[in-house]
Amino acid sequence: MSNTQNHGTNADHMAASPPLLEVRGLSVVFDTPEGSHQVVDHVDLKVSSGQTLGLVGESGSGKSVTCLAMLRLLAARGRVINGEVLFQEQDLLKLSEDDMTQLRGCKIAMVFQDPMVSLNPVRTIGWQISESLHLHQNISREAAKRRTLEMLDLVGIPEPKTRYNEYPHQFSGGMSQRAMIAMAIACEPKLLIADEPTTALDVTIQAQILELLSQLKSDLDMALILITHDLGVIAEAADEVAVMYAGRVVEEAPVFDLFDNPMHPYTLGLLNSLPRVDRKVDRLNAIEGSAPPPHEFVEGCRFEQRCGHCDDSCTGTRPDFKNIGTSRRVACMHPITTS
Amino acid sequence: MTNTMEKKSEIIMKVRDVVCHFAGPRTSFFGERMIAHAVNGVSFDLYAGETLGLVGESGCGKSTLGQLILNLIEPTAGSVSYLGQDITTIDTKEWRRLRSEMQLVFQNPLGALNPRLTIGSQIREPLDIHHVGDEDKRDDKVLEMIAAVSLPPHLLDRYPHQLSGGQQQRVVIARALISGPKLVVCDESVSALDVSVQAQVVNLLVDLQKKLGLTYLFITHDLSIVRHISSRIAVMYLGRIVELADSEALLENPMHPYTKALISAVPVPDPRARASRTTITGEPPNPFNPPSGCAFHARCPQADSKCQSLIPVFLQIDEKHAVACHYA
Repeated sequence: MSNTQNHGTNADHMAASPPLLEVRGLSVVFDTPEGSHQVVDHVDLKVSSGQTLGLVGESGSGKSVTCLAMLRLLAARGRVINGEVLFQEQDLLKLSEDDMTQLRGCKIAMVFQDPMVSLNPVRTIGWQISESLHLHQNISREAAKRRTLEMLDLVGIPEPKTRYNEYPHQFSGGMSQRAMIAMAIACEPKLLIADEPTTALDVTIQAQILELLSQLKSDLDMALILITHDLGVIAEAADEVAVMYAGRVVEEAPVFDLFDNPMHPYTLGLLNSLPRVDRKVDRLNAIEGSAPPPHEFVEGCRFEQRCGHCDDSCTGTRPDFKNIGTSRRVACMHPITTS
Repeated sequence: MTNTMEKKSEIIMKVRDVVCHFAGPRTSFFGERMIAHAVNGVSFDLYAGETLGLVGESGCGKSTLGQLILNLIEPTAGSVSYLGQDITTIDTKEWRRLRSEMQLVFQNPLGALNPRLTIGSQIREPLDIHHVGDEDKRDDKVLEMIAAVSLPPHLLDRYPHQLSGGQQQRVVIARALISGPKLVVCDESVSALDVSVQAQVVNLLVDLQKKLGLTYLFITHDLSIVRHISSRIAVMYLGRIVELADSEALLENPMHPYTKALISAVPVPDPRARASRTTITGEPPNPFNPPSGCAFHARCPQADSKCQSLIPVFLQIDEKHAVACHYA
């Protein structure tokens, strides 16, 4: 439907202008009493306006930390040791803290997994949404309220005037997440980062929220980074996909290519291990073992232990990215090719 | 009993018109307590050796039903009988004996394990409690069980926090199965695990069922897993079972509009499936204040005045399929 049309225009758009956000060689270290662990290792990402980048990986693969590091929201123990984050050709890692505060919530906004925890329980929903307008835009109280009501309406919250004065505990999970999204898009950001926005929600509500996000993305011409562990959500909503494993991006591809022809053995393994509602499989093809914790990260391929395609060349040296055509790349010594 | 394919065999659990109400907060300071209608008249049979999947959204009463079956909470009305014996009125001594035959596996393994006991002593504990076998033979049984869940024996001296999530869930499964249960209620047992590990645990559960002739009640919100693991599926909505059928029949030919909506809402890992989605609007109703008639009528595309006033009867359509909808 409209998704495929979007897909085409995005590709044109990308070729014409530089990406809205480009992350180059981002590395993050966490200092713990047991030593320093590099949890994000030379991550490169790109996203353009009107496009959705899906960032998929299992717990601990570094997908959330990557995005927090981009916005300089890492807790005290985490630090960026390398890389640059170019947003509108400006390196976010070099901005002053004040400039960064101006940017966050205004040009770049974020939606988190658990809306109940992210909302302030002692303030009304209306107050919380208009707060970002007060902080970032020099507008009157009435104008902020009018805009907030518009936002509530835009994200599909019924009876905005009543809901404006209600508190988070009066909202259901799905409605809270809509309110969080209203808050994030109130200043019409250029980039929206959604970290597992539907994981805490039921499937019927998840479908509604995903539809809302894609609608808003095209209405406001935003770029969207969608972090999730669910390949179903990726297939549903992403244009481009980056697969992360153990702190590294292992494969990047347009969504159709990735699902039609996964090239990294990990991507293939993930797809094979999924139970599917649309077909019956006799036995799930599980990937043996589990992802390594950060203190066991090696320099060579980190998937080697669980991989069926590995040999001696996989040990010791980091597999370089191989470009496949113009649009995709894979970090594997022996990428899977289907003839 | 080892042949799990032999369905419609013995009825292990018979649930009849079970109702469970919880008292909620008061309507006002001097007002009456609100009543949550968690389970609202549910009847079904559980056959020995089968896996019955129980799906529904949060708050539909599926976990409450799981606990009712194990007699962990008392039903407001109705009966639950295990092999012909009503367990809601059973005396304590007899119940203590029967209890080792039914076990529960929860969602969060770290929450279900004692952080201060070693893995070995936790797996052994059910044997000590139920006085199964010789004291010295119990350790052999523990070794046998840990091998059955594919964990290396050196983990027995470790503590829960030293294990990964997948390993912890295997320990919980080993502990649940060591007392030799016939019925295992799995309440979102694999939902907290990562996909690659989830597949391993699902395969393990299927293997153990074949080996030990277990009966599963598999409670989950995830239709994809339920299709994979269950022989029959029951769909719950606001305290009632709205559709119950053989897995393939239910997923290939859903009859209740809610089941249709639920199946359609599950994201499929195939970008080409995007266009075929039909989303339903609205949210599940409040169990403190259930709507009149069919609970789904406010969100249902086919609902009319009959649905608003009359609660649909749960009817057997054919041998494999039962549904509660006026227009199915």
